[in-house]
Amino acid sequence: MNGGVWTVFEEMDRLRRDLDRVLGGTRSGRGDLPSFGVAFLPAEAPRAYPLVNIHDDPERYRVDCLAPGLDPDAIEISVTGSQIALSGRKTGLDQIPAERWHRVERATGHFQRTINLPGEIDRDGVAARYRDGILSISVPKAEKSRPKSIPVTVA
Amino acid sequence: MPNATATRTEMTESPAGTAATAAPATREEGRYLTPPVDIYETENDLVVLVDLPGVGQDGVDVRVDDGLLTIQGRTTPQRGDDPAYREFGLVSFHRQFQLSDQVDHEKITGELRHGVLTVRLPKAEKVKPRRVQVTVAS
Repeated sequence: MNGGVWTVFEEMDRLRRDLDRVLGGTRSGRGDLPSFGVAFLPAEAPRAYPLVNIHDDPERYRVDCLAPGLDPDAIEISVTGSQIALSGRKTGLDQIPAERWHRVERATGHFQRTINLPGEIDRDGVAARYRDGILSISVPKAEKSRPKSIPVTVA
Repeated sequence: MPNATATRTEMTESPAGTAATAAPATREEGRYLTPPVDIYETENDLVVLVDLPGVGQDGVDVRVDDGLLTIQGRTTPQRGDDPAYREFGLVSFHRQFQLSDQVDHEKITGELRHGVLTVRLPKAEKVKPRRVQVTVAS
């Protein structure tokens, strides 16, 4: 510890790294808090969009994506190995001339995101449903990724 | 651009400080997010688009009370909502706007589709652009 001197910058750096780890630094490599509706802001590095929650049930994974205002026909979902790729576009006020805008706060634009699932999946059984602005993708696990319960016999 | 000179009917967001008298009566306890909105103007309406992901038909509440437009969206916790990996949580939404009297408060309509609420606020007759017929005297 530098002969007892309090190295404030080292401390700050360590704190930042700890926070990044706690908050999940995988998100666009920046450890941003998932903040709502700020994707696609100008002068910001692209952030993960849509935000996802992944449920790990015994039979399947369920990927819920927070993506209001999409055209369901324009959502592209593809499966490669155990990776799900999502892409699409959220339209905003493109059709409205700019002099008629009063406020533009909603995130819009093209998006693309890939999600790596931890186990092998059954690609033919993947199904997606879009409801109330939440895209819910159901991904059945491959037979060998499902948990198998082992009966215990008493000798 | 025939309507470029149409009156811009301004709508102001109810500031947190001055709405102190109205806010406690209209907002219930709990966690709320301020949803992002787009507002634009057409010839006859002001249109407000609000992102309310996770809010169904039963959860949305739009009301006008003494010139204050309150938009509220309640999300319902989903069955077994304990994801292994989480980036978002569904919370309820709340936002208020002060309406001017240039909007017809009686004819406001709302539509919810794919998690986006569209509120149409028709302009009052007096602020709609009116074309004056000019007769040519011979």
